[in-house]
Amino acid sequence: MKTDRSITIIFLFLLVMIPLNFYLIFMVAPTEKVMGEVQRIFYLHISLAVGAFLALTGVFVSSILFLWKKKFIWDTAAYTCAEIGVLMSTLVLTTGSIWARPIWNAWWTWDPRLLTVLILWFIYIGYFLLRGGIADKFKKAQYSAVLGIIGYIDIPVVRYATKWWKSIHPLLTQEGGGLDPVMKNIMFFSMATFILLTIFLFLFRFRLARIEERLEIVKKRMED
Amino acid sequence: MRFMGNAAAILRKDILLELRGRESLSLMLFLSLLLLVIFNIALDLDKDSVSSLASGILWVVFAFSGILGMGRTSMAERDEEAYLSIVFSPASPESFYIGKALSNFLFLLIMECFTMLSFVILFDFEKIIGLLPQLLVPLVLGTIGFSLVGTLFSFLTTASKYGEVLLPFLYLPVVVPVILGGVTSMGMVLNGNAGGTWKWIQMLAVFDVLYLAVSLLLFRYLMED
Amino acid sequence: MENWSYLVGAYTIAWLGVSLYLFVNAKKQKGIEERLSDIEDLLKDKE
Repeated sequence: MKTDRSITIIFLFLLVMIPLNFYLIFMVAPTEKVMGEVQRIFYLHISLAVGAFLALTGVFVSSILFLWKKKFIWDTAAYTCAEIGVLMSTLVLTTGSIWARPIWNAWWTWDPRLLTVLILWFIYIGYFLLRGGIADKFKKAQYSAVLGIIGYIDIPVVRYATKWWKSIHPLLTQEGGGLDPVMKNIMFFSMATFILLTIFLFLFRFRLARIEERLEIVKKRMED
Repeated sequence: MRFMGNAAAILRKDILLELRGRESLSLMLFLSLLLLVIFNIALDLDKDSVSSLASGILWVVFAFSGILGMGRTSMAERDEEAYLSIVFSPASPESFYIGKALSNFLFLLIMECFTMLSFVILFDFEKIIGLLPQLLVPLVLGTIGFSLVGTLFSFLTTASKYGEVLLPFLYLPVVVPVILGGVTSMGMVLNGNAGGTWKWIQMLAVFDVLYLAVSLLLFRYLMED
Repeated sequence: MENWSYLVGAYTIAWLGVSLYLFVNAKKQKGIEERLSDIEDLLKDKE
């Protein structure tokens, strides 16, 4: 099968890239002056955020394609992406929180970016709550596609609204100054690794979803 | 013209049903009153704190009472299978949506005026009445946003076995910008800083236009079977 | 020194999360594949 082969190829790539990524982050990257070692969380945190963004964009595109083409494969792709998006954004929130504790001296602050990620996390949890309650297969796909589109459109609106909201209050200092070129390149490598990881997780989960569907079909044939 | 006529027919039907005792409006009003009492107990509001907290309290009440009302009206459509007659009628899904959004808007606005009036009485906060013309713009824009998203999402939840219980989980995260805009701009007006509201009013207007467009595009998919 | 624990903690949690996700799904897939082949065998026997 075509999916099987691409999963294997990506897996082999990751087998090289993930250890290399670790090596670059912990051995090669210079230690940041102000934040110290903790700054190395950035490579992970931002890459996870890129992965989450990619997955949620996948939900949006697949949802549109489902409404347009009415092919269930797009529904499968949409909820697979949503699952990975939830996983990734959960990890984004966790790693961000762990970074914030030594730097901002708090596990959580109501920073616009944090709030945006938290809101989108809620939206996609809601996506699964909606799916869990609908029995009819077509309706489930159709309704969750509508939510997948609306939720994605909401993200930039939330982003701007929270940014303005916080600009009234004292702003938290963000990382300042130009990024060291070595750090920058390592950041790009880390992002590339996580983009590949996201694609891998997607294909892996997608294959499982297809097998699950086949089981359902076979089960039905069994009953007849 | 036909389009607005159909929407108006839906609106009239909802008002008639309400008058004949569907009681979703009276439930909303009752809940908002109850929430105000709870807020007073929880926050122990006095004359000094009420001014800074007023707009936040009001919008939380608007949001929660609104969820109750909008969830109820669309569940009623499903339970009575009334929407089937819409599906098979020549009225387009879009005009049905606009009609429902209008009726939700109307009921929300009534509830909000009632809540503000109760707020004035219960917390001895007459400032609201004098500033009403300035409060009206964010209030109306925010309510449009609430009813646009709420109408669409309450139909989403009708398909689920959990029904209207699901509505707050879907609705609240998406209307965060509306609550933020409403709370901030109303707070500014109430605390004598009306100049800063323009940005938020624009944001609310953009939200409304965006969700009107998206809902009109997507609503027909909720009526397909 | 204390900072290291946050750094290590963040990487551990993130990769543990991803691995757990993969592990659970791999296990699920194995179970489903077994059931699938069982049922397909049964269907063949019937025919």
